[in-house]
Amino acid sequence: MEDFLELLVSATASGCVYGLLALAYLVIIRPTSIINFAVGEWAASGAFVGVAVLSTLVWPALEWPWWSALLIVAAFGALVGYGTELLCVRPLVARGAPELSAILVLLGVLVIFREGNTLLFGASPLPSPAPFGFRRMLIGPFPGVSQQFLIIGATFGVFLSAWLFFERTVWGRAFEAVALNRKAAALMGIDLRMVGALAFAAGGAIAAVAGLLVSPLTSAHFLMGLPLATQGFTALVIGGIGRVEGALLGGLILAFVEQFGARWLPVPSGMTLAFPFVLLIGFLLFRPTGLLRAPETRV
Amino acid sequence: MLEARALAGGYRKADVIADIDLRLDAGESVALLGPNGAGKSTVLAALTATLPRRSGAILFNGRDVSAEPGHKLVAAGLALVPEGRQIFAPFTVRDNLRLGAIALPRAHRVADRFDYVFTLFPRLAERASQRAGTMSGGEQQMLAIGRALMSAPRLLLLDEPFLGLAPMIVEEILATLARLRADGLTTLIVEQKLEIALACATRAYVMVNGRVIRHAPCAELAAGGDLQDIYFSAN
Ligand SMILES: Nc1ncnc2c1ncn2[C@@H]1O[C@H](COP(=O)(O)OP(=O)(O)OP(=O)(O)O)[C@@H](O)[C@H]1O
Ligand SMILES: [Mg+2]
Repeated sequence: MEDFLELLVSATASGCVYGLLALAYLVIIRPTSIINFAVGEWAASGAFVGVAVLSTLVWPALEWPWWSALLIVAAFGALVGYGTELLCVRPLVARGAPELSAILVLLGVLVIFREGNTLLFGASPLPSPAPFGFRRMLIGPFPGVSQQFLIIGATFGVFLSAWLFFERTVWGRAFEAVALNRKAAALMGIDLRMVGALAFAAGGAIAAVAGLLVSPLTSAHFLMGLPLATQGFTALVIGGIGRVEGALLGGLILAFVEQFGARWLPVPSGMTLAFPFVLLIGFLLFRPTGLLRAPETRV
Repeated sequence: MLEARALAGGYRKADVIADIDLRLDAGESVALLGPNGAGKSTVLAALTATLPRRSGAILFNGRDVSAEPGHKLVAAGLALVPEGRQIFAPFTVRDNLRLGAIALPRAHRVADRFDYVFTLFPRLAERASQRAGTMSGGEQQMLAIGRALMSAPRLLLLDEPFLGLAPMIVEEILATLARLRADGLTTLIVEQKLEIALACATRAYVMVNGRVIRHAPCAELAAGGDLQDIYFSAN
């Protein structure tokens, strides 16, 4: 039982990280129809920038160094996303290029960020400090590491804010309107270019924060981006791009299958690495819309 | 209020419209007539800066807005009720209307716009919480007009708003347009039927093959006989 509950906490925390990555994809896909695989590398960059900020700059004046690093990483991610949209995506959209060309250019951005991370921070893993240390603790009956609980709480906060934004604010509705019908949205006086830039900025910020959150458990290393990108994408495919909640649901399902499958299914341990891909292929074949559909099909 | 000179443009390489000169004075209501594919919707796209490629000069309220992006034109008081309504089907009526006011200039209050539109179309008030996509065609057209009015436009462009509507709804919407004109709104309405143009406009431009071939008061066009003859005389 103890074992089960511990696995539950660990799977939930991993699922939250996948969910955050899926959300980073989702906020960009909804209004722009562009799949940005660079979010995985942006998460890695977020982790590295967080570690750099925390280890090189000492701020005796700041009482909350880790939380200030979190803010800096979020701002960094937003800037990266905004800049990428401005330099790499907008010129293509302005010329009426198909979404596929933007997706390919963003694969180039992915490579640039991975090589950049390696050049700047080296190839060996860097330990990342956790705000509450690495204490084991019990919350109710659930045993886990403090960082896992932090990840779960922070993810909940991010998803709640995203949901409130999309469902309860005019600007959130405007993002959705762009997703539904670009032309009609433009006729409302919504600036499509600004929506695109903000979507990339939000995606960048979410990815970078996810990277920083997970880095104390995995350490920051130059290979962390690719698995995050594929797991986030798989989570997105499972949950569907129609709703914000889908991203979190998809992440949790993926992590549960991975971790409980590895523990209880009679397969060789190396094979568990294939679980995300089995799920990915299965969903793409049999339920391409994902589990949660948009309230109504797109126009 | 609006003046377009030598407007031309299209979607890909070839121009769909060319040499379009239009002029609307404040408070006027003008019709743009023409057969299917004449380029009427393309002219409206050029006026609202949503056409991929265009040239020529557009003056709005005496200001040159030729290079202005579409969203700024909405804020400046130019709204379009697009062909086929293009409402946001999964959203509620209220959310659709609220989005219409997203570019509302600061001088106006959103609540006042809601009041105005709900007074104009009481049916929208009754159905404020209903999903827009589940309403009848007539109600959806009212919503499309109401949504455009939320931005407090000074010039309203309407692209075939009566297409596929029952005669009773057509009458109802015509009455609403008359009321809008009485409130001082300038309107440019794209139509295919002369009798409807007669009911909601004083002058008309007639387009064929991407060009304006005639410009006359509606009554004069009606006295001249069938629109088909006018279209035919162009060739
Ligand atoms: N999005 C588009 N891409 C390419 N060509 C287009 C597009 N929209 C319209 N066209 C072309 O431009 C020409 C004029 O079309 P437009 O829609 O302006 O005509 P219209 O007068 O509004 O016709 P209708 O009364 O049928 O609405 C047509 O030949 C049409 O095929
Ligand atoms: Mg048309």
